Amino acid sequence: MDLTRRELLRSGAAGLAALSLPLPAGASDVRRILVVIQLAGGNDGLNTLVPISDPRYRSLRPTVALAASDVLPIRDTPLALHSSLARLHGLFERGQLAVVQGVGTPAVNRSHFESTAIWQTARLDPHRDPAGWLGRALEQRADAIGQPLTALGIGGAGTTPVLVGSHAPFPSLASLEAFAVQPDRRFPQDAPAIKSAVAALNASTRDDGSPAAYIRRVARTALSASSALASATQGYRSTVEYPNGPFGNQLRLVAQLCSAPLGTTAFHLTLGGFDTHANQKGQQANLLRQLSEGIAALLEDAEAHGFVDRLAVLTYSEFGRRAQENASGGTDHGAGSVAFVAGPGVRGGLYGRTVDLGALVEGDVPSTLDFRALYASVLQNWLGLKAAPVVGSTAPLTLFRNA
Amino acid sequence: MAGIDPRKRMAHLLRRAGFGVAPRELDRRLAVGFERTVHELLEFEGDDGLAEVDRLVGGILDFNAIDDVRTWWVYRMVHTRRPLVEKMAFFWHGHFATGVGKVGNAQWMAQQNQIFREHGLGRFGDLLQRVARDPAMLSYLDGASNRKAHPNENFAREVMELFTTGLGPYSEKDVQEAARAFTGWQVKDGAFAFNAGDHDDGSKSFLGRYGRFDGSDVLRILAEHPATGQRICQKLFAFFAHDDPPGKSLQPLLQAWNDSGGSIREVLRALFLSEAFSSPKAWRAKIKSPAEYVIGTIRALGGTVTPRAMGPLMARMGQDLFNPPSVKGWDGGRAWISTSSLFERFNFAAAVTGQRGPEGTSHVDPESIFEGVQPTSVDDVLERTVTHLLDGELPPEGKAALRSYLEVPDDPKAKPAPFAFDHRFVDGKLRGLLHLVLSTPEYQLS
Repeated sequence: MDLTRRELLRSGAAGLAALSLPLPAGASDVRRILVVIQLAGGNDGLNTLVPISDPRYRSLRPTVALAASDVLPIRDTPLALHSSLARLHGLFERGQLAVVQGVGTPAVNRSHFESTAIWQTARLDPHRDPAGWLGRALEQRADAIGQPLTALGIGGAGTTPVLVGSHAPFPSLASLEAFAVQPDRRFPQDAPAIKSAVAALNASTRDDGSPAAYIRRVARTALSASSALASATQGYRSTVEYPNGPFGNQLRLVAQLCSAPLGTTAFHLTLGGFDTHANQKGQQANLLRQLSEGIAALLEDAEAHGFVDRLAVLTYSEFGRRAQENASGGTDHGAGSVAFVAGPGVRGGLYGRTVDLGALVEGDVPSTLDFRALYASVLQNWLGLKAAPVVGSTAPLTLFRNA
Repeated sequence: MAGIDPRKRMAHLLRRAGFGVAPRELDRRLAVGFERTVHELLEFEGDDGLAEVDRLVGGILDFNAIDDVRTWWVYRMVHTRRPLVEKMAFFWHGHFATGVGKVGNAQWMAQQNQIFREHGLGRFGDLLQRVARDPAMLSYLDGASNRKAHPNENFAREVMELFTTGLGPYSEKDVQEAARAFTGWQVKDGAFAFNAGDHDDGSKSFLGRYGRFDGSDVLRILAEHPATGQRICQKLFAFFAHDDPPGKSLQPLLQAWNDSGGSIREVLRALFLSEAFSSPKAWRAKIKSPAEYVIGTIRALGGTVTPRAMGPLMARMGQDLFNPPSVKGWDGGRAWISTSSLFERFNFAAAVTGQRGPEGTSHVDPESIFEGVQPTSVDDVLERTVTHLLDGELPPEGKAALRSYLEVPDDPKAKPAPFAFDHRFVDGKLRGLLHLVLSTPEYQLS
């Protein structure tokens, strides 16, 4: 079986050369990386960045409000971060965290589905064309088209809406194993024969324009990318502790992929459970802790593996939650929320307008900052892409130091 | 027909007009004959064999949950004796694309699915009238919130651009006037309700006509518009025959549409019996959708599967039934094939042919494709597998790859032994072979 395995590796390597996938090459190491984290369900911005000294905060939320001991004050402001966000608070103090207030969609839509689609497509009318904002933007790079490892959805199955381009969706990776041929585990000795047969079935480069020829071409790309992933990520070792659970494991996979010279520029992950209609306090505290510790672990791991200067992390959520609590110790769907941008390249600080609890709109923290200003900055100032074709004329924030 | 032998032609018909061929089915159909089979597919009036699953609705199948509705539909697609009825429900689901994410009501999605099933072969104009009054559609395209005081143009625009004429014959003014005509079409207690108070019953000018049109009038005008017949016939041709421009091949379909007042059954009859449908240009020319790939594989391999596990697998391949990516439905064709969706297909193939799929998803019987006749050699195994699953057609390098897989021993320490179709072979190499055949580029084609 050794021979078969050698052959397999050899054909994999040849395939890579032919496809010019971004394998070990100096150029790929200068690429900046964006990790986008979706806080699905609508994160309550008011208990994330808290107007702790405003008495109206307490009266709107007799049970859901955080006590002064549950928050970490932000110097020289009436605001504080949820104490679960201790690690992010540390980044803020070091000037590596941008906290964007009152961010949301211009026309408020309280449907999870609608609002998520608007955020993910960066289009206010999201149902005509499903292409995502990041997928479309990355296709501006000629070399991104046909390079499946340019962007990866992590953890999901099926497509990652943000990473759907006009040409093809970038892949979703539940795990390294799922992005590989998986032979029957009962016959491990038969596995090399299965794998080399799959390669051989797709080996012919004869292209008569037929669908079969097209499928063979995509299959060769997939098999090469799969073996590139498998071999390039083998050397990854880390002592950094990630939060327990799937989200932490997914962030570790991101670090593993970034530590390999695969040229991946963008990742998308989802942390779900923010739809806190009932018993909000414990649930949100747990989720924000995972978020904060996860981002901090990723940055620490990035530091250890030498790519931290190329890394920025962006969080978003489809909407914030109602200022007034409901009868179940929770909050209902609202409007504006809070987004974070983290990393050493980030120009830390507060962005946007601080909420005025005396000026709520229909009981909501209004959306006072168009979410597309966030995207515009990330695209233009971090990834070096043109923002206008993706987000229109929205002026970018200045979220990065060397913008 | 030119270039296609009767077996291939019949298998082609059963893949396109249904969800593929089960073991032993092809010979039975061939004995009936092609034209008679077309007739049976179109006119079948007997027992659809689905009473069993329908009895579970309201019991273990809870239609308040979309997973249960999906499970019910998957079961129907696999087991129905009226495959074309389910295939048309599938076609109309892609045409009148409606997503449960926005609708937020699984019952309504099931109701809509039933409209596609009951009226999917009838007159297009009747189907259109029903879909336009369907709660899922009224919710998905905001018809339910279209009021005289605040017209919402969403449905009015899509019914023209996507459901009937397509871009071209109408202006923005027509969209606005149609939106007025649909005002007051609402949902009450899960059913269509006309609210006269919200309806604008003034005069409208629509597509060059003038009158106090209501929604029914607009739909009738649209259904009868020549661009609608042209467009629906084209779409049916592309779905059932091939994606290339049909040219003159569309003529018999248009003729049938015009002669029958837009009967889908008559258009399909003309299509299936046309030369273009059975031409080499159509045979294995389309990429299977995930539903066709999954359902067709289950049917081809026999055995048992858990229908509930199939919905999520299709979703991972890019087709989440009841949740199309947009109001335009699924793009289909080459868009089905991406690096990750291919791995999903390969790994579905591994799971479904394995002795037990993940979470007990499947237990196919690999021997079933031999229909009780023992193969006598590796070549015999290969030949009959390729015949059953690929109409006997695989490029030489594909056959060579499969043969060399079968010839490599699965245990390098074992002594070389003559071919035996024994339990070890069936459970090991034969399952591996099926995994590989289902992973071939050719098998991805319908």
